[in-house]
Amino acid sequence: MDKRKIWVVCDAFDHVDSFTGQLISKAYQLSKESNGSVQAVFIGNASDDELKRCALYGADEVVYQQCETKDEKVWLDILSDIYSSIGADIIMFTNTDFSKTLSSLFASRFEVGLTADCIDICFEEENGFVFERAAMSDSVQARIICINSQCCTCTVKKNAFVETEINAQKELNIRKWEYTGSFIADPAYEIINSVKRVCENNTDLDNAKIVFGVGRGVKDGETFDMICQAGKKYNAVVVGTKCVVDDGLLPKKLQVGQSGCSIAPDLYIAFGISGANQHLVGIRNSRQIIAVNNNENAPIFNIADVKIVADVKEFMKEFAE
Amino acid sequence: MIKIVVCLKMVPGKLINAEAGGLIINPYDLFVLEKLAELKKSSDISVIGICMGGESARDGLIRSKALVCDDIYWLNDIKFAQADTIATTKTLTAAIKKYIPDADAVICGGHAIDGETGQVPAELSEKLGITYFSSVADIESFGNDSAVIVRRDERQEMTVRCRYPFLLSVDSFLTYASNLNVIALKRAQKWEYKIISAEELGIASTDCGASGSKTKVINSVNIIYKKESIEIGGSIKEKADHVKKLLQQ
Amino acid sequence: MNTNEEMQLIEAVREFAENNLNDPEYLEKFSPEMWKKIADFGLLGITVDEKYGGLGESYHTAAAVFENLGYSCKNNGFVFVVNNHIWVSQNLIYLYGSEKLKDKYLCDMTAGKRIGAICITEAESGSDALSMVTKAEKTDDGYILNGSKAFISNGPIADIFIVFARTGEENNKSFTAFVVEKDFPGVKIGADIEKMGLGSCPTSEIVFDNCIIPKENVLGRYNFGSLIMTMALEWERCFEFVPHIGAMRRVMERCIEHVRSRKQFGRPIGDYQAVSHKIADMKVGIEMSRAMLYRIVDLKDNMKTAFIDTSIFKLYVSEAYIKTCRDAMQIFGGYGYTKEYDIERELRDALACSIYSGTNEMQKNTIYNFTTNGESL
Repeated sequence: MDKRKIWVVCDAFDHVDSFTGQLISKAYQLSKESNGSVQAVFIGNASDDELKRCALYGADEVVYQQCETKDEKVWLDILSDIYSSIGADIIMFTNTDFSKTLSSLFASRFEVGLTADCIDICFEEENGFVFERAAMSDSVQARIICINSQCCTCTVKKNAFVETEINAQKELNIRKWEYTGSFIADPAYEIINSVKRVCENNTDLDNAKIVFGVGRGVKDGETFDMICQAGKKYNAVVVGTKCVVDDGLLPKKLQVGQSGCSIAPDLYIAFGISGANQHLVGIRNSRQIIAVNNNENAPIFNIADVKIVADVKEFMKEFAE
Repeated sequence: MIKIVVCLKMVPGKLINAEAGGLIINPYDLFVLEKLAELKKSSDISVIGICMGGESARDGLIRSKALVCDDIYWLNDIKFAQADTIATTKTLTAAIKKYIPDADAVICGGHAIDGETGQVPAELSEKLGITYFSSVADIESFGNDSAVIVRRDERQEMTVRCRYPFLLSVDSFLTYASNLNVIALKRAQKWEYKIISAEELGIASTDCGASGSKTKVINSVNIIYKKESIEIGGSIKEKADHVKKLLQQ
Repeated sequence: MNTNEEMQLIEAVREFAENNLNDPEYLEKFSPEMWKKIADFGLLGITVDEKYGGLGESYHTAAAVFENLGYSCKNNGFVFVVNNHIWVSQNLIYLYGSEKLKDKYLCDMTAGKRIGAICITEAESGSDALSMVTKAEKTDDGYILNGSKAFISNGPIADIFIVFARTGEENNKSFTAFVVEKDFPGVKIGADIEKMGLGSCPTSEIVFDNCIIPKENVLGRYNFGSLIMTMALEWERCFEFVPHIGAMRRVMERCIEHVRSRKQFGRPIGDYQAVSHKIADMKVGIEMSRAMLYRIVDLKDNMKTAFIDTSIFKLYVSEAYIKTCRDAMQIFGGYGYTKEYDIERELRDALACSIYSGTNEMQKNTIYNFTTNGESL
């Protein structure tokens, strides 16, 4: 039987980044389980030396298409071209916004199965490739397979797999692809204005790893100050609910929930937040949620991983030690 | 008159309010509805809602009608159920091509809060063959041949003029729509919501529902760490120390 | 039992109130923006026919909606403004006004463009309303009104006043209800009166100094104003107090949350009967009020009189409401006495209800007279 083709779509454009390395490492592992071979499909602008780094993680072949633009539609056409020619059994994408779009367009075009945000992939004789993902709303981890599908595709969550250099020396074939279609992105839009988002220390919510949330249960200035001090100490961004922003304690840009602002830090600690609707939507994606509230029935405890029933002021006094 | 299609999904209310029962409009879709309600006051736009859902979607559809929708296509058939993103996309595509083939814009919430994948908008744009814009934070205006939107990603915020037709995936959400008024709500309650079956839509069963899906969940496992919230007991000092330890990690 | 449509309406009202009517800056100050929001929301014409911009709902639905409004909106003064506008001003025109008057004023009132108020009380005639001295004299094209009214809720912000005055040339024992516009010559609005509570409902004296009223602005029939007054009081005694049931629920829920978490002598204070019994009393007050309320709106939806029922209702609800707030303060202890906890404002707002819409003492007179002379139920 022909070897199963395991593809990794590299989207870092000009180098093999660690996310790609993670995917190739997993692909290599899967190739051993499933009698497969690993192709790193690289679109962008990189030197041969850089491409050869794919061998470190276990790739057998790199299919390289030189391309000046990083545009989803253009990459879709290139990828389609390659896929239509050589085919694949499984295609792994990263879950960056770019690859999420690219993989969706691809899956739709070829009507193949696409599993989002995988945290694990394995190969089973009866089921073929089995993808695991966590459904956000439920506390459920689902195992998914592709059916009636020429190939299985998936986007993979960052750090789901570990970048591992293989022991053996791999003979790597770099196949330069010659795409003959257009590289010009669709001119159906025009950028009127573009503003760079400033990444200020402590106010860049999107990249904050630790966030402290302040709610109505923080009743006085003293407690609020203690939380801010703790925030500085642990390098956490301090945000607030609508009440707190209305009261003038924090500026509107640090309001989480109502303004449609949602965050996904590694750790979110809610101080005196009861857990009104808008706020919960805004913080659900946090990896770990700790809630401190003196009302044991506060709704926030429904989504908190660690529940602490305590008066916020008393808690902060101990915490600030 | 600019024709705008809004894809609507109803999700469990208890995802944002533990005491709520029933289904609510997905907060990302609600943002779109509210925005369109605002823009409708000063632009000549017609808003058509499309929703795949059973009878439990009715309350949400009534609200959508009250807020801004001029018309609603309710795809309600057991054959549509258990669709993965590919089947959902094909069903929505069939409906749009059949009922609003001349849509100028299709707008979707970026993802649904009940664990959706966020894949449908892009997949839909591919099937409809129209330009796709992701990470849309705001919609500013609808002109005669183009609209102005704001896209926001990690690095920048861009104001973009997009020519029709296009599909937007919107990343902002709302849990309350201030343009809802009770007079419109009452009218929406009296309106007749046409239910469209698979037969009426004219879609093959291999193109929708479980039979049209390309992925299938074979089993699910309850994960222990989420939801089962660990309560930290003991004195306040002990609680504080526990949190400090978690922070060190 | 609420129908599905009623539930949807109630939910929409609750969400609206939670998101728009609880601005902490305007808890005791009237906000024109808040008024515009509730007007745009479409709630003002709840029982008025659709052709006048209303919702055309039953009194049953209105009761459910307003109870929930009272629950979700903690700005009791604002709810008071809305109630005064709807039940004893706008609706009086709707129910008892001529076609001409309805066409002239209703659409503006349901759209909130013009705010209504009612003027009965005077400096020297409160409970003894029929001893009022404000007088209206007939002229060739209408009437001239002279007198002054005291403690008029919505006075400073109203555009339309339902004014009761003595009329009847022979013996001056009759009364007539007039619809008076703020801009009619001779209308003078006094300064805001600072009150103990209900701060967001502006209140003032209104003076009529040779105020000219056109002929068509008689509400109901000339010299038959006391009939209108009786009806107005019936509506007021009912609907002014419906939101108070919601307020009681809100206050009770705050107490429940507090008694679960506040610990003394090693136990939550809810464990102690002196505390828990107060909450039981609150619950009884709410349920009994509701039972009475739905009996009343049932009568009204069937176009029957509820004169004595509303008097009993008013008496009962006001006593329960005041007791609930007073007990809440006791439950919250020292914290209840502070401004920050807002319980003291709930109590200040509640204390007025034994006075307005006819004092509780007058209600008891009414109830006694009815029970001993009139039909018994």
